[in-house]
Amino acid sequence: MTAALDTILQGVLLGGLYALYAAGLSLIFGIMRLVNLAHGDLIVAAAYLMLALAQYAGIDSVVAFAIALPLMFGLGYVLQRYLLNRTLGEDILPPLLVTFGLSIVIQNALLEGFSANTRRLPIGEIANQSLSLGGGIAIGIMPLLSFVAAIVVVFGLNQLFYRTRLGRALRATSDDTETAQLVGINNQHIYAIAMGLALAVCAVAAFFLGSRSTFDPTTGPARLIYAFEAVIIGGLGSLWGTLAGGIVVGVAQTVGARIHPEWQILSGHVAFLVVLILRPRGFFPRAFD
Amino acid sequence: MADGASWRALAERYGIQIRLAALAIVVIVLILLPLLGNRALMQDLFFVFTMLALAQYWNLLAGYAGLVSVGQQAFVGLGAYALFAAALILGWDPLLGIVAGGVVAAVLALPTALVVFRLRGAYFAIGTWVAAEVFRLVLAQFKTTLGGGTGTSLGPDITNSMTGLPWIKETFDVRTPEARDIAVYWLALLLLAGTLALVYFLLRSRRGLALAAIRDSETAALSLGVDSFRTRLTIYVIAAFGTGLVGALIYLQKARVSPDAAFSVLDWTAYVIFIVVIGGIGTIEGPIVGAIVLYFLQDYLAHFGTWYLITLGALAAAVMLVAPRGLWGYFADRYDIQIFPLRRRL
Amino acid sequence: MALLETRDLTAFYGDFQALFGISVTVEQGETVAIIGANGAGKSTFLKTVAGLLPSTPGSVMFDGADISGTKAYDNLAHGLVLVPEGRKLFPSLSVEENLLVGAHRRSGKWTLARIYELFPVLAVRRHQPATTLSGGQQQMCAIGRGLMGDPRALLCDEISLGLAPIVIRDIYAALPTIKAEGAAIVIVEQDIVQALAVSDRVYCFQEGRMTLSGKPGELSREAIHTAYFGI
Repeated sequence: MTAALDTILQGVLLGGLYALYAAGLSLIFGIMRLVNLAHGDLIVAAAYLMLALAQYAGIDSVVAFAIALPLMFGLGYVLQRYLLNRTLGEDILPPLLVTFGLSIVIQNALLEGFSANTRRLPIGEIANQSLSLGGGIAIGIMPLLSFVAAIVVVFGLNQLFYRTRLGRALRATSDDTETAQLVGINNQHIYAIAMGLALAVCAVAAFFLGSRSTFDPTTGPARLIYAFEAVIIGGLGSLWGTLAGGIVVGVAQTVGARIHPEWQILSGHVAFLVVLILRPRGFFPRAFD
Repeated sequence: MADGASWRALAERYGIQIRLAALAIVVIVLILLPLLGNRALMQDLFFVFTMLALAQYWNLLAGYAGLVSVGQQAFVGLGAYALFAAALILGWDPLLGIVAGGVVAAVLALPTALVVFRLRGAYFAIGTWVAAEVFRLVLAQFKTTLGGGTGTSLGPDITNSMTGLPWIKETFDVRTPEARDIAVYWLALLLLAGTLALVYFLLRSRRGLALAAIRDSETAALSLGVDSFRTRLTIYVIAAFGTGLVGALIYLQKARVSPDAAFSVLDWTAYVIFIVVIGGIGTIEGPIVGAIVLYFLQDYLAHFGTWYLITLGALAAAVMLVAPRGLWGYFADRYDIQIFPLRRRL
Repeated sequence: MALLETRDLTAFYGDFQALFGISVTVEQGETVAIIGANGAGKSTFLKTVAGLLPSTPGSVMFDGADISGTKAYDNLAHGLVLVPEGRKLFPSLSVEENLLVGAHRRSGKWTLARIYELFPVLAVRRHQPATTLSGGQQQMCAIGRGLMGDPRALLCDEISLGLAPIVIRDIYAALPTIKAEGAAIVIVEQDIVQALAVSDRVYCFQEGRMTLSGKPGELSREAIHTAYFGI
């Protein structure tokens, strides 16, 4: 019984991490119907950025994260404004193929710059510490923090969307980009801001990816797939739904791993496929999409 | 007297005859190529033919049916594993195993489609990737029969037992390894020819017209009675069948398979997409140009490893932004050429 | 100097030419009506002036400056506001949020309170999703959204479309208050009676060309009829 509870708890916490992977993806799709196939690779790139700052500039990983956050925002802004905005339009091929090419470029650039060795973000002893919940169940501090971070991020993004001027502009643009221009919203700029936000969230995800587990230049695509599964299971258009989706994937994976260690990732895929078959719109889809 | 205008007039009048004659010459030359005894050339052409065939199927899906898949490696892998299973477990002749590869891929494409067709656009793309991953992970579980994660090989007893090898050895007076090279080369040529013919006639048929309609405006097509789902499903299964055949052939030639190799996104999707994008989406000629370009790039730059791939990725992205119809599309538009004419005169 | 002026304006949708050399002037504080049948090019005209569609250099002047290359979102910053055809309220936003977003780039004398004073029904429904309102209420909200941008020139595209006569009267009843603030107003209308009633000058379009212009009082019904239908 404790074993089952422990498995599920670990799965929920893992789901928090997956929700962090997915939040940026969900945001971008909601606002500009763009799916960035390089999303996972950008998370990994952010992790390498922090690693480089931590190791070569000799600063603490948390400080590296604080520096990487605005840098990733800026990168997202520039990437969207000067490259990805040019792919937006009726045709689905350009954004898909350009971001696919981008994915290949990033992976190989990282390989070239950092070699294929697996790395970890050094965060000291806290990486190994855990909190005892009694009854023989313990949860890692970092997994707990990543789950808390996921909640904070989703909450924060929702606050941004529903209580700020920028959020209004983002929602208006996602509704009707032409009419948004009529009220003075520069859609090129808004899309870039949105991508900046998404990559800032990726930086958060990267911090927890790097400190909870190892990463290498090819880790990106798998993160993209988990993020995508979380978004679809949760339902397009809802960030809390994305969190729920992440938890479903996380729990499916830990349960699968419990049955057979090699079945972890496959179980996540199976859960995704089952939801896709039974509830194609996910659990919490927005009414209009 | 022999100025551009009169050449054009001649070309228009005898267009079909000229095309068929040229095609016949090319085909005959390619069939007789083994007479040159150049093994390296045959192996290079094997690569070009198989990649080109894969590209034609991807192009059929993406350029014509509007189904952008980044999961076609699923069918390469399934085809390869079907061949290995047929040969190793059932003791079938490898030639039959190749056919099994196509059939297995096509059969499994059906349930796959039923699931992934619930997704649209970019999400469909990632969905196909997930499907490929599922197949990869499942096959990696078959440890005793198919070698699990490390994979397995086809021993010489199997590869040398292929039908037709003795005849080739005698006719060309070569030893077994060379005979195998000739055999797989011809099979690749045959598959490619079949693929080009299939794609050409499919797109000229009513199905092809339906495809164009769906791609241009699904709602309009639906309102005219075009069954979008069935048309797309048919194309998806056909593409899976072809991809499975090619996958089986590729791995027959390699004689060694592993889940990571057979289901590799880089080898069977990234390079394929590159071929189609650089060459030109939505035309039959485009991938031909793209395959040739890839071949030369591979030949000269592959040893640069990561930089080669960075260049390819950046080039594909750049072409998509600057010349979205690829190299062939750019020239064909300017000079109004079609080698495989698909447009109907309105 | 006219506030808004078009000089030989042309517009194309691909190969199809929608406007053939339209020259219109709107003075400060004036109300100008543009009438014409469906497909006459009226909406195309407004969209081109607002900056949603491209125009040739020198063909659109606002306040003496050439705005033919300026995008709609920048035109708004100078007080050129378009209330689009079909209302086009943002479904994800509430009534109040739709109004607030109108002031995203520019704001001025029109505040939320004043909009609610002008259209009281909006105040009652301020927190509802904008698309749950009736057609007439949505039109009021759309006009309100445009006013929040403190327009110097307010372009209204077919605000009576699909609305019942009594509702149309309510909406046009608000026009004098808007005029009193000094904004120039351009209304595109298929409802000729209403257009003639509120405007200082009227232009008539027919198949992309201007077929008539003048003051409402000076134009005969016959002249308008001919210009409108082109027979």
